[in-house]
Amino acid sequence: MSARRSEPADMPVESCPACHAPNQHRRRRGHRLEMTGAPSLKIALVGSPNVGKSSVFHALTGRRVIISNYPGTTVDIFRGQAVFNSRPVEVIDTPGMYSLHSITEEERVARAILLQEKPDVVLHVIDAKNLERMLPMTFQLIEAGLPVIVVLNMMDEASAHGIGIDTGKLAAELGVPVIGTAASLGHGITELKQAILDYRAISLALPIVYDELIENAVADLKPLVSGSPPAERISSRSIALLLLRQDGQIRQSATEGEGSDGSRIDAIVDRARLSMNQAPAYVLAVAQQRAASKLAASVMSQQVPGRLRFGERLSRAMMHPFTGGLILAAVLYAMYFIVGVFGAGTLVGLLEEKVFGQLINPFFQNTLQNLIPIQLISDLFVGDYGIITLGITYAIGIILPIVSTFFIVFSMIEDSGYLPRLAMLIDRVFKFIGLNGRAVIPIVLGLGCDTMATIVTRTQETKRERVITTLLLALAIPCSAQLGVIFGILSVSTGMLLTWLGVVGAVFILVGWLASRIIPGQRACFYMEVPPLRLPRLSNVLQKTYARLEWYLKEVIPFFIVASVVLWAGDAAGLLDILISGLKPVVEFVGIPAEAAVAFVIGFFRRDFGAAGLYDLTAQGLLFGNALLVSAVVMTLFVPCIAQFMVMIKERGWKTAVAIAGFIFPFAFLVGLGLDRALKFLGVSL
Amino acid sequence: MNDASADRIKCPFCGFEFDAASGTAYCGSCPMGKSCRLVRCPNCAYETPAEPKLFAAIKKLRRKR
Repeated sequence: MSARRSEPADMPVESCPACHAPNQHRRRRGHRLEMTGAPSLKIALVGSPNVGKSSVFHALTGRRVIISNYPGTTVDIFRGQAVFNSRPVEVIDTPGMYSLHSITEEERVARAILLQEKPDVVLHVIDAKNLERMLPMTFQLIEAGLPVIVVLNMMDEASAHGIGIDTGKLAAELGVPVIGTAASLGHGITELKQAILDYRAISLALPIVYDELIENAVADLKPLVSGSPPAERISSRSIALLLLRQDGQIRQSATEGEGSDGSRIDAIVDRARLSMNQAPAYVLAVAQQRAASKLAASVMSQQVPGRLRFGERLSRAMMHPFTGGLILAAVLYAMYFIVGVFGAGTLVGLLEEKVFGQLINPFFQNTLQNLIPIQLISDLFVGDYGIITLGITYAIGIILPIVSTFFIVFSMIEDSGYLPRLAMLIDRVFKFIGLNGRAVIPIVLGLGCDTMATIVTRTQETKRERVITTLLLALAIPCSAQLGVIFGILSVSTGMLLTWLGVVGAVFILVGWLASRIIPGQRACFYMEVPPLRLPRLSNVLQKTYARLEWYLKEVIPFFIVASVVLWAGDAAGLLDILISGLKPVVEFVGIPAEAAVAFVIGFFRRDFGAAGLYDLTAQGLLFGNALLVSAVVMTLFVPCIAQFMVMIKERGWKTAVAIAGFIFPFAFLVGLGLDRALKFLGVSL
Repeated sequence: MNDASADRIKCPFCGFEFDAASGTAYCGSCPMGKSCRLVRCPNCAYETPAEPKLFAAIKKLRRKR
């Protein structure tokens, strides 16, 4: 770490070096000083989500809190006033951040506060139970030369877990004050207030020395950035490290200084990047985590009672490559049993076959055909593509029981805290295909609705990752309703379901791997805080299932009605026949019965609509055996639905969207063809 | 996602706590934005349903008792 800088008393800062927002707060602070006539302290709280920052904030400020949007953003900032030993203090609670290298808007705002508002003391609030995971950010704050006090919060919970921390040793190693608190109980707050009033850096220790390539690049970059706007607040070393992490915002502000040379900075960063096997951001993260593990091991002691360890052991098992794989297989099997066997088998059998097939549809067919003498008009309601016999039957008779069971299972998984562990588990697979664990969020959301998941791809750090995730969502991630229906139609044979899972999984990995080699760009790192495991709460599961069903029904019923009307009109005008006869040869060539062509056409309206069409054919005995498996694979990989396609255009541009759809259409049938021929060649008959 | 309540929501994915009203950042670009009651975590963008009106009403009723 470079020498700790004392804050210049009257620094002429016009704008935030990070976000370029005008510096309004300094003026406001000066105004307050005039009113109180005493020197004031500004304190900023930083830290990851879920570390009890809000508890520390409220313990320091009481109830005098102002909530406002950070200028130019929708991010809420909490400000509170307090008096410590007759000294006025302003406390700012920043949004959660995992690193000084900002990815999300909240992290950018938190960093902007550190740079723009120039707090006199920065409280890095840490969950004492997770010291090792949180120390990397402490290192970054110290490297930045910020006036840090480490607040080890939740010490009561750490004690309950048998965790002891030598705060004196930690303070000596870090070179900054360390205070233990249990803010929700008010413990340690008096000591913290005193530490704030007495603040001074203990030493100028350098927390981490990185490998030679990084240190050489830092040495080359430091003189180039020492006069830049961010250097007025954070150390040149920290700016150099952020530049090596390819932080665009810092790069922009670092090249704004007088006499700065952006091309030389870029050349040094590029040279460092090319000389390393891994991205510099990854190398830095690994080095910081290693140093954190070493330091945590030297200051922590743990005596954990047996009964408390089960949750932790289970959590670790969920993230371990072997046991995590077994647990994932068990979760998928449970999902298949509940959604596929019970939802799509028992419940759909009851609703579609008995209630709609024997009661509702015959009643409306008899009534409307008698009431409406013109067949074309009665067909609109009860014909092959009728609103009642197709739209409502598919929506209520087939999709509703399937998505209901899926949403129940998904809500239970979600409420248990399993999803973030799944993200950690599949991070390795995702790395192999050029993505990181952050991609698990849109991928998991894609299992709900691919359209919205495509919007969420914007949380990916690089353009390359956004394009790959968009492609994989459009190709190999079935939405909830489609997944449920496919579980349902393949529940006749476990072998069929496993083959479908294997083929779609292989396509996901293969296409992702190929795309990561074809699409240029850099890989990004993945940091994530894992919340605790817990038993799903019945009220939460019911509430989430109800909310999702309510939304789904509001959306799906009007859509299915409109789609039925469009199909009826297309059928009446003969357009549907032309479209289907165009698709028939392709469908038949890959070993699927010609009748399934209709399902593929309507699948473009909505994937689940198409899958429901396949379900209908299966129920009628027209689709079975190998053809059923091939149909399910092709339908899963088939072109995205119209809503997803529109969002792809909006998010990725029409060229990328058309290129993705243009690739998927023939590819889906090609995979179907390959599977059909492979099954025939191997003599497999399912 | 109109109508989101002002209640605090805990993201089931990353554990970040946020106001339902601040979970609407992506709604403008979503074709289904007007009809759904889902909110997105501002920290990780994970989507979760806002508390349904029915459940909010039940809670209110129980509090009154």
